[in-house]
Amino acid sequence: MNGPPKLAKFLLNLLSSCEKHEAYVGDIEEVFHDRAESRGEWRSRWWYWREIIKSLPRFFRESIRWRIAMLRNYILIAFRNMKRHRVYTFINIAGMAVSIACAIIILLWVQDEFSFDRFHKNGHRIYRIVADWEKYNWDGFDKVPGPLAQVAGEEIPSILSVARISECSRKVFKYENNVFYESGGIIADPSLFQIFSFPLLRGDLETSFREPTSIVISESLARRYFGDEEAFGKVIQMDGKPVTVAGIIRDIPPNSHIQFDFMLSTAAQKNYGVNWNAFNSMTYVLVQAGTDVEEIGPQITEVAKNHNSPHVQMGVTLRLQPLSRIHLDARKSPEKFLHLVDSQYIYIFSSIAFLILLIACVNFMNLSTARSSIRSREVGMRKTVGARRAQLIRQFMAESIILSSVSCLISIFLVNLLLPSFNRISGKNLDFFLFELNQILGILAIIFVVGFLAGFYPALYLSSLKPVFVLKGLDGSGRRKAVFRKVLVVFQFSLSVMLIIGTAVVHRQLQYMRNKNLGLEKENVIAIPIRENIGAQYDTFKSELLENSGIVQVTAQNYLFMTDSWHTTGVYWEGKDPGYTQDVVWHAVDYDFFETLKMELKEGRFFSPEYQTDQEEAFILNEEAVRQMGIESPVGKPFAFALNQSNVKKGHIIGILKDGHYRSLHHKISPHVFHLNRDWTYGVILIRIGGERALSHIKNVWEKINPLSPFEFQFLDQTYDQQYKREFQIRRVLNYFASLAVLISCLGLFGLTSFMTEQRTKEIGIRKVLGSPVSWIVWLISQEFLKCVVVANLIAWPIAYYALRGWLQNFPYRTHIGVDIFFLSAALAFFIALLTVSYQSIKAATADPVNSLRYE
Amino acid sequence: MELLTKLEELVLVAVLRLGDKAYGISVYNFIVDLTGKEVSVSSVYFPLERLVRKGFLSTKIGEPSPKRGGMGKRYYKVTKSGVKVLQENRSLHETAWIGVSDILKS
Repeated sequence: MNGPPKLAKFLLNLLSSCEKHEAYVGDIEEVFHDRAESRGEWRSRWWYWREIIKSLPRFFRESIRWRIAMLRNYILIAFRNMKRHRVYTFINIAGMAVSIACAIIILLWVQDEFSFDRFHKNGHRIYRIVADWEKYNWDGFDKVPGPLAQVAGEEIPSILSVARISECSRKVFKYENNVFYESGGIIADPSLFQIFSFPLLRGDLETSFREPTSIVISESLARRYFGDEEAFGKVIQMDGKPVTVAGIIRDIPPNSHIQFDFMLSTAAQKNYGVNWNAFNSMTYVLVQAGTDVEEIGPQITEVAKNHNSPHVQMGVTLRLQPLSRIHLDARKSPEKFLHLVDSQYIYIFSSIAFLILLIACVNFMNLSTARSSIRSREVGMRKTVGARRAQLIRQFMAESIILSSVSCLISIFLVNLLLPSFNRISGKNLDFFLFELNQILGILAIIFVVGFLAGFYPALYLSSLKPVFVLKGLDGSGRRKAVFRKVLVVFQFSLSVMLIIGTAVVHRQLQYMRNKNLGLEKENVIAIPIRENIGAQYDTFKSELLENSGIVQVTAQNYLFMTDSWHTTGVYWEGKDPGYTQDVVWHAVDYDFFETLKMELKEGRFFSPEYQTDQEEAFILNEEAVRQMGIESPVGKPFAFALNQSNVKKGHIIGILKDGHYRSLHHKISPHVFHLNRDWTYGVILIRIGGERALSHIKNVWEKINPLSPFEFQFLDQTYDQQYKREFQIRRVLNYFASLAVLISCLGLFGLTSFMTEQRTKEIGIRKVLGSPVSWIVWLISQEFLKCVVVANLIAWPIAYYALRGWLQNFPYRTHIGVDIFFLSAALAFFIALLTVSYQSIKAATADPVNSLRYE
Repeated sequence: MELLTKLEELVLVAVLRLGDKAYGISVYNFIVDLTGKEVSVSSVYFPLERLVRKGFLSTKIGEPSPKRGGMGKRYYKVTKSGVKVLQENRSLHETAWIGVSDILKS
């Protein structure tokens, strides 16, 4: 005969656990057998199951009641303990609150970065065409030739819509008395509004762009010029020419990677996007649902090849990049309308925030286990009256979760306090409301993760104490626990040292980049854009400026070389292999260009009005260009330059420039070609000034010649520094992180030493009575921890070295990670640790032994 | 004086009447036979244990048997205070019912 159903019996054993359990299980089994005999086995089994299920509601009611009762007791004990040991409570809560605040801020930031471009209705079907070219290390170059968009849209059926976007130069807008510069413009295809969900409030896709003089503006731009008036259909002056507001869009949400205030249609631009040679159109496509995106890339490449795109024939391949990847795909110098972030930094900062959280958890672990002797009696008592280990573990976990909840509450205040300054550094606009579901869930997750991380080791350790030992007053812990605590201290300080080294290296790289000899003098040079009347009257402008003694030199260029570079492959020289393409950066400059910027000549001469032929046939190259083209003794050699087939300039090389950095050090030195230009309609004027006084003179001259738009200028050295904005931000954030890590580790160390000295009061007293000097006792206490710091340094060095070497690979020109940085940060960590430890150890060492030995 | 619930009272009477053989199942069977209602086995444990806690019943672990899956029986015995409380409750009943049977008849 069979017994009762196995699963049911198992459940019964699982649920009932009181001491009467045996009798009950026996009883029910006896009835089971009786019933099986009288009414058949199946009915009896059925009955057995029913009995168990019927008892479930009552079981849960009872057990939850007891659990809540126990939980109340745990909470009471936890708060009592926190109150009794105020210093340790403060150390734990302060450290945790600060690190949780830090983690919350980073999480908010990460959440914000990942929220980009989620609002587009067709988001998952939007892609950008990017280019790969192995030969020149193009990996997903973000722009493609202008004509590609149309042919790809027409010839590939799965592409539903195509839109190109290009940067638009700054414009002056004027409506009645409102005159402002507007820099947030784009030139784009109207289909942009079909692909992306940028709602047009007024205007119509079909008609808005029919006239070349039409413009689409954002709501806030409309408000700036028209106030409460109706803006739609109004005529506004743009760079002195009238344009009609043919569309108004809702302001672009801040979490869109494309940002603009006004949009001009590509159709209104002369010769926009007809050149297969120039990779200058950012091109977005909307594909049909269910299309295999992998296949479209080769199709586009094929289409481009069929239309004789020279670069594609030379090996460029095209592919589609999903919208979700674009915001995180930061480029060295992105267009102004793009809002990108380097995903590398998201990972770096999230992991640092996590590590700081870990440091605070380690504090809790260390202090709780070190102070286990205080709690051991309680554990002993609880065990003797029948607490099981699982219950004790639950108790200590509850304690650490209580602690993390309290810290979390404090950190919410901290976050609200710190968020404005974080927003200032990062240029973000983060909010912390606590009313959003995911934020509440995030906070709860942090509370539990931190509580668990901090609590699991102390809980396991404390619950393992044997009542026989602890109630006798013996410390069952022994050496192993002390070693583990040291390992934790080493871990904390390794992290701190790594962050200190990281901060130092970032700082040094930044200094290196700012102070590196660029091959030109950027100080005291201002750049002003050529606008309206200035171009036509450039020579008058220049000579009037030079009348003032405060102005040293004046020159002009077709674009600001420091923030942009215009590339071309239309260069020809003697002995060039016809199949070879040479990419160069080209500049059209005025006389005095090199003199104004104090660039150095290697051989030959600069452009000079003394040579009549310079305007038509003189070229200056830099060393890198000569090297790449492989021209022997270049000065005097023939050279030709062509932007397109109809516009070829033939002449000679007259001078070679020494290599210099004309852009930020993120960029490798490229080959440069300069030619002379005397005819200005656009570009920048560069002026070397003797002092601040000259500025007012320049302003006067500007206003006399060009009253149309306000005078504006930028200092070249500031422009240069601005390119390191990201590195400056990183340095500031790292500074905060490193200080926090050190601070929290020191808090923990402080707690640990104060506890250790407390434990050793008697020993210290006896030592003093026997004649030990104060310095020896201080050393005795400090040396244990200082050893830890030394070991921490040894661990941190190689890790920091490899991590930072990786980071420095981002820069073609980089500083070395010197040995001095390691020793300096080691010294710093050592000094801080010594300072922390010495307070307690000196206090203990100078205490009167009478006090510590009085009771025995 | 301690007031007993109906079930507690019945259980206490059952244990008294069953003598040495009073354990979970015999008490259960007694109640099922008496009332004719098939309650769940576990429902007699709660009054039993409550009575043990109040000191009206004492317990003893008995011999295990294969029929019980190797588990021992838990025998119950009414204590002195248990007997006393039962008497009190009975006299309470009788006092309360004086004259009621006449009203019910009419």
